[in-house]
Amino acid sequence: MSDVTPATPDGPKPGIRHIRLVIALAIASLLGTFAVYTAFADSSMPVLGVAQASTGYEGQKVRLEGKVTKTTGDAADPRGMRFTLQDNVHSATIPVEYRGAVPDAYRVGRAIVIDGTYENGVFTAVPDTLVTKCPSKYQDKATPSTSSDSS
Amino acid sequence: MIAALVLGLIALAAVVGVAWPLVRPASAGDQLDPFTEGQRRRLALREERDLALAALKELEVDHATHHIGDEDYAELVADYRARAAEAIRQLDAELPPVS
Amino acid sequence: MALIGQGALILALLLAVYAAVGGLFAGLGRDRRFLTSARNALWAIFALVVIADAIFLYAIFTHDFSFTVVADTTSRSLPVGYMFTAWWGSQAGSLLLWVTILAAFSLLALRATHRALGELQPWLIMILALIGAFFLVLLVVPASPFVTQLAPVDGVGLNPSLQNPYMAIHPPALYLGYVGLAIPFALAMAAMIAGRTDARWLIASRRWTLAAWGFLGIGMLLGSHWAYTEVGWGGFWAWDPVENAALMPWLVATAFLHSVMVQERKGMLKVWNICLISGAFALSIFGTFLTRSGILSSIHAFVSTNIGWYFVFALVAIIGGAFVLILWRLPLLKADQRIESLVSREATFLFNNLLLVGIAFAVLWGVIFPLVTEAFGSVRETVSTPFYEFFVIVFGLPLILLMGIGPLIAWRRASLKQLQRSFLYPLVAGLVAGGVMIGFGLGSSWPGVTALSVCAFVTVTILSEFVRGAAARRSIHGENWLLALSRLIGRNRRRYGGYIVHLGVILFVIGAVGSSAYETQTSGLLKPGESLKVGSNVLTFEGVERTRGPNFVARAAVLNVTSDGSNLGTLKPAKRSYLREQTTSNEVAIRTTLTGGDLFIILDGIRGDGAVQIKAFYKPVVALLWIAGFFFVGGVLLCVWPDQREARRILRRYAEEPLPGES
Repeated sequence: MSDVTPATPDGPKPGIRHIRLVIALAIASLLGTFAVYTAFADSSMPVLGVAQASTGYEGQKVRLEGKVTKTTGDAADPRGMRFTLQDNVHSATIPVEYRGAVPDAYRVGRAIVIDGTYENGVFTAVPDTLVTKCPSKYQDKATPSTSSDSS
Repeated sequence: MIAALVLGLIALAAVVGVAWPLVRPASAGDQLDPFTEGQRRRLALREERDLALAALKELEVDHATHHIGDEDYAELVADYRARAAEAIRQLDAELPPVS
Repeated sequence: MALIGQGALILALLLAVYAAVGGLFAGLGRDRRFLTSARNALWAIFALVVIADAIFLYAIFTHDFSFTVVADTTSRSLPVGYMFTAWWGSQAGSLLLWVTILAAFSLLALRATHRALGELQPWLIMILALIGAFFLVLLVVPASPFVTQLAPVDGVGLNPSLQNPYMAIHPPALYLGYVGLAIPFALAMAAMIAGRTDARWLIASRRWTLAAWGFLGIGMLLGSHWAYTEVGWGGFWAWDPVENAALMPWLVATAFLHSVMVQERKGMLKVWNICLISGAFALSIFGTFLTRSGILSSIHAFVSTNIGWYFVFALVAIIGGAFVLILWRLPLLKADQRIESLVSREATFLFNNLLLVGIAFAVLWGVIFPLVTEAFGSVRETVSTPFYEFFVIVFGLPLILLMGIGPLIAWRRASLKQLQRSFLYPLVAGLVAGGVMIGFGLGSSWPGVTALSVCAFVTVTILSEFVRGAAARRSIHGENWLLALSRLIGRNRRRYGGYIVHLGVILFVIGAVGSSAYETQTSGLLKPGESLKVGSNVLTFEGVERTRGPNFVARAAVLNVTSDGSNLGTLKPAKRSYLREQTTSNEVAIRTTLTGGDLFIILDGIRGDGAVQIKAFYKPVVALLWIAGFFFVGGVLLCVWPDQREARRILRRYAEEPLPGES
């Protein structure tokens, strides 16, 4: 390869070291932002089965997974919807109170995911966080997400 | 039925298409010539020359649209011209290419 | 029939393995015979895959429910148009589509590398055949479209929310994008194996990368539009893993599109570019199977699926292979020149790359976080929308700013004095826009005002580029404005096509900010005759209406819309019951106003006594999201459009002496 721009005999010019420093600082600040945010912001929450949620996570905002076994009421109503969620594996159950959007696929027997807090024997859900899981293999169907059977 | 027939035909064509280049009598054009060192070098030089020329064109546009001031323009033009000239000089110094 | 389809796939797999080996022999032995043989194998693979497609589609259209996949995704009452889309309604079907596109693209890529890149063809065939073989193994073993069963009377049917025109185009568009990235990746790997350090592979891969990137972008936009109109919760992006699956390769490909320009001009960032395209393709493979498998729901789900391990193997092979090749060819990949100034376009592209990769990394982290916490911690944890939104805003705002700064800065170095002049108007525009917006009450969301002000800045910058360029042509060539503008764009297609794409991005950002930061929302229970007010619109409930569709029964709330007294018509948000699929779906009602805002109404429920629960949004300027798509497509088309002059110039360079491998 012809070398039309020879480097200076005493190594890279100071300007280049300066540029490299700036680039390194930029990378460091991106990583730093990432590290600080993930460490300090309340950005994640545990994903629990019904059995775990009622033991040791009281008062904490968690994401609950389970199967709907009984449901009454209307989530759009001010009084909300009450349903019983059973653990996907064990037989533990938990009562859930929910207001907000209900995905089309919601019904008794459907596996769902919901965010909220377990307090005083009832799981109070964050509005609009009810998400259904399609029971057949590999596919999640949900509202408000857009996961679908094909894309 | 039709599908089986079509499949059979394609399979046959595939076998022929794949095997024929290998079993037919060898000929002179069968070697894929690799790049020689000289060809590689000359290609790199031509690329360098063309890059410098393209940069000159872009520089002219940037200057006309006031992205570059006159001083920087003059400096960069001189630099690119030098690069292009150097690349052309090295190209000419090599053995002229066989055409 | 199914047997024949399966037979075709098995034959294709055998040929793919052969083609890979043939390519290897052709490359090692410089043997044209093996090259021709392997190339013919690729043709045969294409024909066989098309046969498999034909059999599969025939089964779908003739309601042959002995095909398990057909029974699982179609039904007798499915409208004909959506029967075609059932092709990709299943895992096996979509893998079949992937392989079909790959086979076609491989042949096209061979055609395109005919001249001047003949030396790369053996390696190109080898790599593409290996990728094809991988997918064919999936199709033959764990995910066959030709599995049979005792035919039920009727199929299960297609998920009703997928029976929508946007869902018809969205998956193929995405797949064209995912598969399209395989070609630049293969070209990069082939160039490294062959030891070619010239820019020819870069130039050849440009159109492929642009096209693939364009398809991914449009695919995502179509998916967003579907989510907005069909899933109907009021948003258009939910940071769901399957959405992120397409976003990640798209972001990395965006970075690649920019940094190749630096490599073309200064011969630097060679290793970085190879890492980027490998990363983009690896993410596209990751994305393909993220959508199709449940691996992310838990490690146990991952282990229990059969597809999961295959894809891990593929990812390891791609990343490992690229890594080994880079290490081997490192001496050849040294930079020719360096960045000379931080105030240069190269530097802005570098920072643009860092930000784009940063966002992609953050999204990737969010996607794999549940798996990581489950593997290394005591309990599985997840992140949700706030996590993603934080990084999009914190990394995205500087990125948009760079979009405005980049065009003002010349390559190599910019004159500070000129920069000050160029910056003045756009900067003033941004500040004035910010002030005006605050005056109009948009100060309620300071991220919103900031983003919109930056958008104003960038828009003025881009428009000024068009003006300045045309003005320069006028003074040099004496052309009138129209001619100058069209010649300017015609002679600098990539630059001005790029600017048009940037304008599209700005429109998208304005639409996203406007519709989220400044939306108004109300909900209420309405008896017939009662009204709800949202924004300046009044919705009066008149009654419930029942209708029937081809495969559903619908109940709609008839709402009369008025604004400041004038009647704007009726909106009918509805609930549909799909008989065969035994599901209900919500059909939202949307009315787009002249200013691009949307009145978005959801029927949450119908009470026994005929009262309806309604949720209504007013989303300002949301239509810009979709209008941006046209700019995006237009810009990409302009960039991709063949430029005869440039093509001739490049060919001349390579024709100055005969090159090896030309056949």
